[in-house]
Amino acid sequence: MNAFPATLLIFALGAYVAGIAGALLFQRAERLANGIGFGLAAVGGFCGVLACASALATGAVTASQSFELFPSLIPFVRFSIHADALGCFFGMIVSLLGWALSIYSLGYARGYYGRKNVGVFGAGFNLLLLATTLVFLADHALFFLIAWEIMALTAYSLVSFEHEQEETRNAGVLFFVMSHLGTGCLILGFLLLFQASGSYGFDSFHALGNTLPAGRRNVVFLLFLIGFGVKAGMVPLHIWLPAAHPVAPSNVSALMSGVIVKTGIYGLTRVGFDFLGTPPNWWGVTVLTIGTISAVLGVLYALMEHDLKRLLAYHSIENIGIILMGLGAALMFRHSGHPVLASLALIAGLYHTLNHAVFKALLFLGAGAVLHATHTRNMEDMGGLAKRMRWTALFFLVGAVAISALPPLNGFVSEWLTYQSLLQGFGTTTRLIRLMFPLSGAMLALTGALAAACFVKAFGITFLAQPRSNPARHAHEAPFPMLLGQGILTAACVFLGLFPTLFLKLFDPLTQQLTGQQLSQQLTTANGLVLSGGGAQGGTVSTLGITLMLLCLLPVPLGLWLLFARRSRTRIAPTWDCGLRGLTPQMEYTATGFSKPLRMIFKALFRPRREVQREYDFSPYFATTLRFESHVEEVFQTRIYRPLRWLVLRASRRTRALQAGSIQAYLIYIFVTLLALLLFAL
Amino acid sequence: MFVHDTLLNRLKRGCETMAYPAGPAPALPDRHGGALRVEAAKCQAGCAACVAVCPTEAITRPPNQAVALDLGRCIFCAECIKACPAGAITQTGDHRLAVRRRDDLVLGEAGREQLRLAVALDAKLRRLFGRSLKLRQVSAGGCNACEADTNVLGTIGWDLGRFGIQFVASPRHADGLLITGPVSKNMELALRKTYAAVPEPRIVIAVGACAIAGGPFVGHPQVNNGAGALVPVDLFIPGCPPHPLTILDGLLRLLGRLEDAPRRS
Amino acid sequence: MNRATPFALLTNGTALQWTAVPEWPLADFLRHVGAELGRGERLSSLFGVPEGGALRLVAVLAFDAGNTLAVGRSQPFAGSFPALTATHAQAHLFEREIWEQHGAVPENHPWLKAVRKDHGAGPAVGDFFRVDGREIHEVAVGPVHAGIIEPGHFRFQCAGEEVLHLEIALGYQHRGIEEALAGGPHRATVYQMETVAGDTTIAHATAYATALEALAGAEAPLRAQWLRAIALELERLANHTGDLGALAGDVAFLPTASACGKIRGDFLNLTALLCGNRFGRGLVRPGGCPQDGEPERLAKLRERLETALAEVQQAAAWLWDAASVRTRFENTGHLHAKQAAEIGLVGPAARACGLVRDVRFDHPAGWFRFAQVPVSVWPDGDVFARARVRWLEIQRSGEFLREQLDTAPEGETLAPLPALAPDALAVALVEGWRGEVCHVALTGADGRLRRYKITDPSFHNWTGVALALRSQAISDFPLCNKSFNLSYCGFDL
Repeated sequence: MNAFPATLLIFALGAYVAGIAGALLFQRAERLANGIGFGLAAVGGFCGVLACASALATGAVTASQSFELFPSLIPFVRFSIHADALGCFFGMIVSLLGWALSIYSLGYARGYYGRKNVGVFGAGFNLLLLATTLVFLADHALFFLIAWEIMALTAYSLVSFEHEQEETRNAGVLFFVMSHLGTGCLILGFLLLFQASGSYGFDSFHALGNTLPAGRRNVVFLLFLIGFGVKAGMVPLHIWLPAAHPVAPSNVSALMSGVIVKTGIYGLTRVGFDFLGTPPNWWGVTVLTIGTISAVLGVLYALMEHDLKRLLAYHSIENIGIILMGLGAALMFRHSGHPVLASLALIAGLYHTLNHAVFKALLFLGAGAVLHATHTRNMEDMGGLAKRMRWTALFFLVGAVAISALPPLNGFVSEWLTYQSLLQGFGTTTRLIRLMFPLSGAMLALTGALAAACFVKAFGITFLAQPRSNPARHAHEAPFPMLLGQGILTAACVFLGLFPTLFLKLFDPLTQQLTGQQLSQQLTTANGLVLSGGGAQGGTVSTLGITLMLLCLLPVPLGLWLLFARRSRTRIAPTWDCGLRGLTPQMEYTATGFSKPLRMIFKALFRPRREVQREYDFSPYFATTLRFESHVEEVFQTRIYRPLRWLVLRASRRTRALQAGSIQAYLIYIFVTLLALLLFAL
Repeated sequence: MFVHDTLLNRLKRGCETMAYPAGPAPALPDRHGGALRVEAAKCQAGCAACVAVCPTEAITRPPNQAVALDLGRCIFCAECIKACPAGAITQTGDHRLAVRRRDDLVLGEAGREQLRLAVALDAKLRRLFGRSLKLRQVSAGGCNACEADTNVLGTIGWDLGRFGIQFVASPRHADGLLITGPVSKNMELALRKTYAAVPEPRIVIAVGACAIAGGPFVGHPQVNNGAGALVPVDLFIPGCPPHPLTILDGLLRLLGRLEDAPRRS
Repeated sequence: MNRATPFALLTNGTALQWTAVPEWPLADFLRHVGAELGRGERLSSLFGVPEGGALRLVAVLAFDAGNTLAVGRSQPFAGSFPALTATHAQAHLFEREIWEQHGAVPENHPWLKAVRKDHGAGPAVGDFFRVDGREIHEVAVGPVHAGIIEPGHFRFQCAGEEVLHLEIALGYQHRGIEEALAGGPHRATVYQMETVAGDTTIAHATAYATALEALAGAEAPLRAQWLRAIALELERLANHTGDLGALAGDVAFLPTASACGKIRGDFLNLTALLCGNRFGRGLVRPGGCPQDGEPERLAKLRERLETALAEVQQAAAWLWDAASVRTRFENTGHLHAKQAAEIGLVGPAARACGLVRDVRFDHPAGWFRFAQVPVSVWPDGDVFARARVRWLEIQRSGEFLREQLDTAPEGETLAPLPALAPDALAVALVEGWRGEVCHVALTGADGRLRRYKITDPSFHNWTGVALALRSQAISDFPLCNKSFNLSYCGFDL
């Protein structure tokens, strides 16, 4: 690795550390702690983006070496980092978000002045960024696990930052439990790898899978799939995600949905493409299936939400699904010996990882700004915010268009690449499995349509029409740093969408490392103006072209306006209300009302329940009160996790009998254990 | 099977839309009577027989002045014709009744025995509305007769759409209002709001005796005695209710689409 | 009628002395009315008559099975009275109206709100019933609607597309007809009667004429009664045909919609053939009918009637033949017979719930004493049933007209009307095409009208629309509304 990116990277890590120290040091002076904490985090993020992006662009990553951050005092552990292509790519994502989110936080944290310890908040935020960056760069299993655990614990503390509310505490605990379930699997997985290689260094794990017996290899894969799957929030391990993400402070939500779920994707990619060698077909099939299910279920549950942040959290599950579709397809191609297609699918998945990070963080920041202004997450209490928060509304709209995969923004590009890889996959195998590709493609199309519907709802109910509550009526635009943070990500959405061919070059070292292919040339035609699906069956698309075409059409309405409308008088009249005395916010469509038709279509999944209570005094024709409530059942919650929790609790109560509280009993336990170990040793 | 039946039926019957205005106008019912003609010159001195029988006080005869019949107030009950000993009031059988100015409806004195038919809109408005006129109908106390006879213009026999005239759902899409009913006090706000919602330039058409002057309800405290009290009216179409032919004549006359229609430059 | 009742009995289209109307203390009056309603009798009209500073209530009950009407009144009282609505939903709007017109408060009325509320605020203002729940949104429609129809305001409480509650606020059309009648009849009165509901001109004018003739102790010449019956059935034919077309239009079944639109005009033109006006203005006057039909005119009428009937037969056949129409009509906007009876539905809407209820049959007056029309009933209570009843009635009315045009009575059509009897009360019911039109006329000592009460069938039936919409998709509202096709101005007066 060249000196420049490496130094810069270390400088970035140093900035985070300084941020932690500074924020804690000045925690009594809120403004200072805010400025130092989030300011240094922004510097760190900015340096990180520069370092990782330049390393990927110059190809420095291919020559990079592992080096020790500082000498370890603990046996077996080496604090070594290795900025290889994969690590750098994810490092770039976390740094980019760290930069934008920190700037945003400079404004956002002001909301905690006088209520909360901003110093601790800033320190936690820096620590989270630091740990996450190290997760991506760690070159040693134990170092990785330490960083992983710090990341999980810091995230837990930040999720529980507003611990006064019971909902927050419950969500924190759920996150904590699920996260550690995952970590347990990871530890087991790494131990199995260690057993085979005799070292904890990642370099020793490289292509280790090819030497493992098939059974053990499968066990390792499953352990990592569960371990990283929990973090990624894939169905059915997702239940903590819609609980934890919404209750966290919004900048943390953005970081969690944008980056921390991606550590799962990073892990799966690292394990699947680096450690475990050529995969059997069922791995890819499994990942593709899980991805498809996650995508569809994620968006369907998102549609049912009227909590803005929970809605976004469910969309994270959907997008993780889309990413997994790319990864799954790549694994299948790898199995069937189609490295080019595997690279294409991998690029699709990882490009979507980057894109999702950007637009989801953007949307969470928008939601944060709304929450900041209205103090509610319930969309039913919002409305009319577009007039009061013009910039936030604009940024949120860009994010919404991007996540709905509409051209010319970034979501479209990566989903288009996913389609390309899925549709070309049909020819790669002859068995029934080939049907999975078009089927997944169809599901992806369904997902896209439902996502668009969901964001019509999210944007419409939140920002349009009249305010439906007093706080919404008195909402105000977010302070400048919050807007700047959103602006950076908005610009990123536009650039990643308009110039995908520029960014494809960054993937060359990455695919070179994982699949031995470089595709940027193949995917780029017409001097980088047009994106191609590669191969004979691939399609072509140019987001830039679409945009330019639309821009070329712009003079038409403009000309018409100049010709005709400009000369006519403008009169501002109230909204047409059928001649009624006035419109009230009560007359606006509600979020639940909007999604009700879909709830009816998918009622087998949602199992909707409605309660109508009609009370009357004398005559059934004249109700005194009529109450309506409807509920959607979260099938995973009620059918899997609730029985499971019940079983665990019951088993725990049984085993509690062992904890008698008498020393004699404990002595016997120790004695019996020793005896058993002795027998085992014999 | 109705599919086969309906198709065959339509083919058999051919086009059922009337030839008017290219061809002759359909005949009014023989007992309809059409427009009135008032010749005050025939009146006997001091006679006010018609004034006494008019239910809507449409006929006045101030001392030493000629009798005046306001066709805007008239509900065409023909009681005055029966009452007049001199035959000064007669039915012409003419379906054409629409006028542009309120006092064009006042008949009686020499030279004003008949109403002065509507002239077309000026050239600018004719260019705007001549081939596409979208109207919002506001019923403001109307009894559903004027409404029904306006509605009937949309049926296959009349086919108002062939003139580019159409009734639209929202005043926002409209070029003007077609008002029926005496404009009850309870509809005052709604009418004002609907008028305000129509983009400019806009026209207002008052259809029926009620919308012009209150009809049988003139003078009731619950009504406004016609649309003119609230909005400027560009076309008055008298009748209780006006025959569909009369309404169509008024609309076409306003747009300058009738051969005999005088045009204002 | 062999059952003992404390009420004074009279037949449709007759009068009795005001003193002959039994008078009870308020509590007894309400008890008696409640008891008769409890027996399943029907409230035709309930209104107040101011007397000095106090108020009397007058009830007109229809004993349909006994073919008689029953009248009773309370002693004058001031202040409030216990609401009948609490136990008998059909009194609901009547009691609101009494409160609005006279200020007497019906205590414990479950939904006490102005009915028409003139001047100033306009009627749609005020508290609407609201369903609790964050997911509920209101849909507010009107007074200015999308089509060419009269103004009224509908406030839906919706959960998504489902309507949980509909409240209908009318009064926009209020022109003060009843108020203007005090001290009448005036010169304009008969013209106002013809425009109570412009599409029901014949029924309201006939009811008015009959009430005045009863008070004057005279009867219209037989040929006039015959002409009125002819015109009444023509009015029914025109409107029922129009409704079938509109219903077809609402489910986008265009063949019937466009055919019926035209045939409706043909029926209206038949009325115009008789009197020059498509809606029958000037056809009915107290004392008879001013214009007779000459034989040639009637022959022409008969001939054009046959053509129109044949055409409507065909248009309706298409409608019943189309499965897509049936699926939209069936089980939409459903009302039970029990509900219909309890809220006091009248006309085709009631008959479509299986209730045998038709003034022409139950309370024959005028020409219907000699020639009756069978009652057309369909049991289901949905849009289909209401459409079907209309079609049955088109057929029955067509038959009736064929028969009657062949057997015209001879004679004059107009007789001078004697002076009205002082201190007398007359009740006239006419089965208009929407249902029972009820006019109650009360004269004072001077022989002028002291109180005149008009009850349009819409006054009974709007509650039915609101009920039919419960648990329906809001997109079915136009269909349900059209299947009742009620009058706004007839309600608002």
